[in-house]
Amino acid sequence: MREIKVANAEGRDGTVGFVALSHKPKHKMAGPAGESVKNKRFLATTDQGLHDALSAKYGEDYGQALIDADPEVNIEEVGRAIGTTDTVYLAASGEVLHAPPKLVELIFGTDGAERERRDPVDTPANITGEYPLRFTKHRMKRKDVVKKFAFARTVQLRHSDGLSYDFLFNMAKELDASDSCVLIGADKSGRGAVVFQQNGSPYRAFLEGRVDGERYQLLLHLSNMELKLPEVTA
Amino acid sequence: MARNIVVTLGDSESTFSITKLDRKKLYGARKRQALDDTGESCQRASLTQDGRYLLVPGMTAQGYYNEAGTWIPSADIQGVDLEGNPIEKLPSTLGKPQALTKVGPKDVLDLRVGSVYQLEATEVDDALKAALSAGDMFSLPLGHRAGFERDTAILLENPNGLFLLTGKPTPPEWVEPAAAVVIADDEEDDDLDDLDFEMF
Repeated sequence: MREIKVANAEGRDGTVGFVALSHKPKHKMAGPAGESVKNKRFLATTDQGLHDALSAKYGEDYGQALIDADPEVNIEEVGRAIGTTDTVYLAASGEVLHAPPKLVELIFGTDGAERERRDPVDTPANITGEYPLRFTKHRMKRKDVVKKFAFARTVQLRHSDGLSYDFLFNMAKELDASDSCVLIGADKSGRGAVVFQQNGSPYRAFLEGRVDGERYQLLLHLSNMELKLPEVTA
Repeated sequence: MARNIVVTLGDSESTFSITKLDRKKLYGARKRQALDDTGESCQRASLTQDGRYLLVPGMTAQGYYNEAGTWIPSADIQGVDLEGNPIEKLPSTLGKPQALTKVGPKDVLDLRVGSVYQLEATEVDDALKAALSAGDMFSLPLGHRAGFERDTAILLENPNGLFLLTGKPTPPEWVEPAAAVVIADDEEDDDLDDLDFEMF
């Protein structure tokens, strides 16, 4: 279980575990006799079967050649299962780069046009660093928060011992009683977005709690999108 | 391209056209681009670990294989439930009436949202219009195409307009309290003078 450092409304912090909530499918795929199958990546064609190679050999209008002789199918190679691979970069000339490429960050506007090029800046994860994730002063009723943001992920906080149970249960109980979610801030300012891994997507995080007797659910709902319409440009 | 969903509340049908929204449309986008020595964009590729294939986009595909490693044509693949019983493919829901079910905020929070759509009302029943304006939210099954499992969609209205959130439900499990540590409570053993230090 991964760890996250979080502070309660009183500013007491602790390191607890969390799990990402995921959908549990109610079905699976099977073969014609019901036998289990696995989805795998396979070689569909070699480089000689790609558009550039085919058009160089047969001209731009090579449709009839495909029908007549299946030149895109190398029967010795096609269908081989592809296992683990390593990422490589190809220069514009098609050669494999043997040194790391220079990276630039491209910024695009809402119209899709490139606005800026800049050197990329690494964004570190901030869930277990020096500063705990902490409550901000912004609280919203559950019925309001669900109409303002789209939540793409939720992680559930879990205790590891009796002390952390009390810590998390009390947070969940207080939030449940208020029927609200609290905006959680990260970094030194206490207002930063939450980043779970190096250069990962930053999210606005809302903490929600539910209790049922001595059981609890303490949920960090993550959003990177508001429910609003695009600005209309003239 | 806008498509239509048809929903029913009670006996009344309403129709909305849906258009996908994403972060690019709202905030723009950011992406990292690799450049070669000449400043030209690099192409990302994959090298198999045995060095045999340099894979560029278009060279691979996905398929189903059985345990013996034999490829199974997609047409022969079937869906089964978790007990292994065959299940029927569900048709697309687009353009076909789907019953609305009123839901609460927790149901919406339990949805892992995969896509967001803005809705334009084509023909809306007065009762549904009033319920959405009053803050009610509704769920409906959604399948863009035929498949073995449908998404859950949430229909809601806020001051910016009408929205449809689609995704898969991810209801959390309850976390039970930690088992309390038993504290020794032996009446015959409460005299500190009897503590044995000789054993050390």
